[in-house]
Amino acid sequence: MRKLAAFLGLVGLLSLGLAQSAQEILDRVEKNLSTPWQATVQGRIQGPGGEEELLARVYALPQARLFRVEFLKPGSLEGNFTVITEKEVWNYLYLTNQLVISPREKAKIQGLGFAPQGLGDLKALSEQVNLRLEGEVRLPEGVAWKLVGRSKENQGFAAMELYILKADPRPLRFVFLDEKGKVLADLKVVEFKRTNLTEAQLKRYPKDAQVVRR
Amino acid sequence: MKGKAVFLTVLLGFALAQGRLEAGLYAAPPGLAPALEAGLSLEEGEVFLRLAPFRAALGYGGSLALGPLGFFAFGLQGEVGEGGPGGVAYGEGGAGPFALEGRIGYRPKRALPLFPEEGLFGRLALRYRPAPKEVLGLELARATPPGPSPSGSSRAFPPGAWREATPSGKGPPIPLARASPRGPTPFWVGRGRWGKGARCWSFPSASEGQTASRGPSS
Repeated sequence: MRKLAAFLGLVGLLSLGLAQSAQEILDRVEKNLSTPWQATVQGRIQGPGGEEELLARVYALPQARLFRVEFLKPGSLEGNFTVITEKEVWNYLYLTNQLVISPREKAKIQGLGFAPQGLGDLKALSEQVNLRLEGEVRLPEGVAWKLVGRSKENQGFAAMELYILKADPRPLRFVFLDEKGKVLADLKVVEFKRTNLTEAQLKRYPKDAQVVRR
Repeated sequence: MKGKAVFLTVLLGFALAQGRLEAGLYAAPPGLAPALEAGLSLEEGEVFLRLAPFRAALGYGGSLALGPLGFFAFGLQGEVGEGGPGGVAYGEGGAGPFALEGRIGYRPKRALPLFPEEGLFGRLALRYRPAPKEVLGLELARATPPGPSPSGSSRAFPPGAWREATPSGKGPPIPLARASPRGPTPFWVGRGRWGKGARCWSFPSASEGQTASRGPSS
C-alpha cells in the first residue's frame, strides 16, 4: 500500500513537473520571440472544400502583441488576411472587400479547424489550451519538445499538439485534432526569420474596403 | 409632461450608449429631404428605425462572422407610410469562394431618400471564385439598380465589391467597372460575368438596355 502511495506520489510529482515544464517552455518561446519575426506556415487543413492545402505568411510584432496572417492557399482564401491586435481580431475578406472587426473574445473560428491567431500568438494559444509536455522528438529541424493539450472551450478544435524547437525555442509544427482524434489541421513552420516590421505594415488594408464592426 | 420628457431623454441616452443615431439632409430632386436613422445594439445584431418623409421602417439586422472564411449579414424590416405597408428582407455576404446577395421587398410608393424602390423589387447576386484569378458572377434584379443597394442596407456588396481577383501581394484588387446606380428599372435584369486576370466581360440582357453596358475593365 505504501509502495503504491509512493508510486502515485511520484507520478503526481512527475506530472506536476512536466506541467511546469510546458509553461517554462512557453515562457522560453515568448522570451526568444520578443523581437519582430515572420514565418511561412504550410500544411493541410479541413477547409470549406474538404481537405485542402494551406499556405500562409505570419508576421509578428510581439512587443505590441500584434500579429498578421496572410492566406496564400487554398485559392478560396487567397487575398484574405487576419490581423490580431491586443483587443481585436480583423478579418479581411477579399471577395466582398470587407474588413470585419470583432472583439478578441468574440472572434472564435469554427470553420477552419484551427485558430489562425494561435499561429503567431503562442501566449494566447496557451490560454485557450491546457498544454503539457509529453516528451522530446527528433524532427528534421532538430530535437523538439512535444506539447499536447485539450482546448478549454470550443475553438473549432478539441485537442492539439505543438512542437517547439529546443535549440532555438520557437514553434515548428501545429497539429489540431477533433474530439475523435482526427487531424483537422497539420501545419509546419517552413521558413522563419527575424526581421524589421512596423505596426503600420501589419495593420495595412485596402483603403476602399468596407469596415464592419461587430 | 415633464415625466415624459425625462423618460424620452433617458431612452435616447440609453439608445445612444448602445447604438447609433444618424440624421441627414439629402439634396435630391425635387428638393431637400430629411432622414433619420437610429439603431439599438443587442447582444447579436441591431434593432433599427428609419424615418423619411411619409415613410418609416422598423427592422432587425444581424450578422454571422466566420473568421477568415467569411461574413454573412441578414435583416428584415417592416414599413408603414404613404400608400400602405411594405417590407424588405435581405441576406448577403460571402464564405470561402462564394458570395451572394439576396434581397426582396415590396413598397406601394417610394419615399426618397431612404426608400427609393417602388412596387415589388429585389435582387439576387451570386459570385463564385473557382480559382484565385477567376470570378464567375450572376445577377438578377427587378426594379432595383444592379450593383450595391442604394438604400444603404447592403453591407456585403459595397461600391467596388463586384470585383475581380488579382494575385495577392501585387497591390489592392482592381475594382471592376460597373454600372453606376441609376433610377429603378421596371424590368427584370439578367447578367452573367466572368473575369480572369485583368479582364472581365459582362453580358447584359436585352431587357437591361444601357443600364449595365460596359466593356473590359482594362
